Amino acid sequence: MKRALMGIAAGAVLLALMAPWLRGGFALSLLSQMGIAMLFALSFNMLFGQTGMLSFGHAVYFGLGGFATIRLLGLAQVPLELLPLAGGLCGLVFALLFGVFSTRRGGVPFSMISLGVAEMVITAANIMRSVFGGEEGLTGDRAANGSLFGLRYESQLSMLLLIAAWLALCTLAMAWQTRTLLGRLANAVRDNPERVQFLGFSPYLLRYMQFVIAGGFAGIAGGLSAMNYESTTTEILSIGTSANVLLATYIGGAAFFAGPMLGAAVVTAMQLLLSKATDVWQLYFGLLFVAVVSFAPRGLAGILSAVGDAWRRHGVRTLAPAAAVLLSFAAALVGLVLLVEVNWHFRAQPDKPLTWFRLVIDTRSPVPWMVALLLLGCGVHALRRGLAHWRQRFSTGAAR
Amino acid sequence: MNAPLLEVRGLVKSFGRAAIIRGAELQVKDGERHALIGPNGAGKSTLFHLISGRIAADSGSIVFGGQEISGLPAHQIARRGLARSFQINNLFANLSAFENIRMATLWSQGLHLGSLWRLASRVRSINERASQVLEQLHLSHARDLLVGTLSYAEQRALEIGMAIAGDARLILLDEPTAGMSRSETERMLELIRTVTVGRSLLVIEHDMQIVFNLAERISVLVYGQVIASGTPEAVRADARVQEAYLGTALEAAP
Repeated sequence: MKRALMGIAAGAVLLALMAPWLRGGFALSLLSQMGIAMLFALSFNMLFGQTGMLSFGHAVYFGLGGFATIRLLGLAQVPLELLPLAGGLCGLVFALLFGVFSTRRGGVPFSMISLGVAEMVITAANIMRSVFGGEEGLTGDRAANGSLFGLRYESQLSMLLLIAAWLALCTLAMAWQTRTLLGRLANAVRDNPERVQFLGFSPYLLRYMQFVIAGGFAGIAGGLSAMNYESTTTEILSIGTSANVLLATYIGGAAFFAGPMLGAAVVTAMQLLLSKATDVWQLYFGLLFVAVVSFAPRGLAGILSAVGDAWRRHGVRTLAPAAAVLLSFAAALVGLVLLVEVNWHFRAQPDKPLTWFRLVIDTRSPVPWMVALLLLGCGVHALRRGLAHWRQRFSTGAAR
Repeated sequence: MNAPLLEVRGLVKSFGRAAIIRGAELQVKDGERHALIGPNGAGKSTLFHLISGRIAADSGSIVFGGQEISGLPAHQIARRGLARSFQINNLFANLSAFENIRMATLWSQGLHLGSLWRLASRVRSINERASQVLEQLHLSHARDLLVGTLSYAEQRALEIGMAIAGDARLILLDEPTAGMSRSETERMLELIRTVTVGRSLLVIEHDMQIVFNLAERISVLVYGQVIASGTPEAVRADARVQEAYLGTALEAAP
């Protein structure tokens, strides 16, 4: 529970830090999407990090929850505050249905079946136009809904607050769940499903229970998403949506309760901010994922936790080495980004100079290329030495 | 008291064309400590897997506590009060030692599917029982350490702890002291003796000194069949057993 509260606090701080930097409608819509992504990622991690079930189709329950919600969006009799429950119920019911055969086995069979179910649901949704609205999808008007408190949720700010409330509520519920006997048995199933059997519990049933609960929370997130955009298309069910939540959870750190929240915030921010700043943002997204998998398998939360451990044990002595690592990382990053951007610009439109953070760069000249390579080379070299130094001094062995 | 708690009759199991268990017969009485011995490859571990439901038999019957359990899934057999340990450590590596033992106490403390929503830290019975077992194992110091970081001997002790924590009527231990030092072995034997009072124990063991020390009755498994079963003295005197062991191991024992 303490960790969950810390997670919520960390999320709030992160949002507060970003708020002044991004003003107006864009910031609000970014934060709204972050909140939804965080909730979705937490529900995904009930399967992945907690039970060891890697789903390639978690968006099915998110999306079906979204469609159930959009059907009720705009009905004056239905209070908007409670609408995510409809999404949750829908996600839960379908997880109850599909879980029967998909959770019978864990590991690779579960992953493959989740992919099959996703394909099946996507195809069915595209065929059933009257239910899912075909390519245009379905729309609704959330301001037309009733409210428990007599409010109208026209503005993005009001929607953001509603999302934040549901996120906080669900986060607490999921954090509580990890400490129940079911939550602990789920961890046991993740580590060694066979041994669980000899303790009197069926791993199938435990996987199934986790799957249904995770489907319910995914449905709530999907419902919030439908309310936020006031429209839903079958894109929401896609493998792409499922892949996104997997990437976010992994980047954040599946072994930590708050890891998926951190990852979801970072990934959402990258998708929205980076896509404005550069044409090749997906390249950076891919590089980030590869870098995390290769060098920090415990994710961003794992890095934070290792640094936190070192700080608690060694105090201020960690500052200088940490700064050195950070600085060399920054140098390598700037070098890499410069190289990518110069290269991209050179191939796309070599006649026009590239404007980069107020710098005007002629991509035909060798100078920016040399600078980029130099920064990248020196940065990587310094980073490796810095990390080796860090490990030698502060690592406990198990960490990182 | 003397009715068999476990009765195996005509059990057969083949893997492909290899017949591993060929009509095995075995009786474990209520409250006795029973050792299963036999040369390498005799099928001792396979017999354990069949009894505990890890694998299904081709034919034959296994009656436990008066009920047929052959063909039941492993968790249903465990619920009837049959616990086991494994020859190779088979634990929850990313959970603490305490959590490993606590998970093993749930079913016997009445925490079944309907009570899984309860907070683990709030259920006093399982926490007390888990602490007690850790103390018996001399593992209290490792309570909060992840099992994957413990030494081999500590994990070995925990493996036994998982089998005894659930107050099972019949405990199956597969080479419990393998790889332990002399003093650790002594301590574990003492513990096994203590915790199996009033229960039944079926143990696979290679060390004849341990076998004759611990067991009230011995069964000898050779090529998938139990060729002899009885008191240590009777088994030692059995001509077929002597033949199977070529005399060596048994004569070396006290």
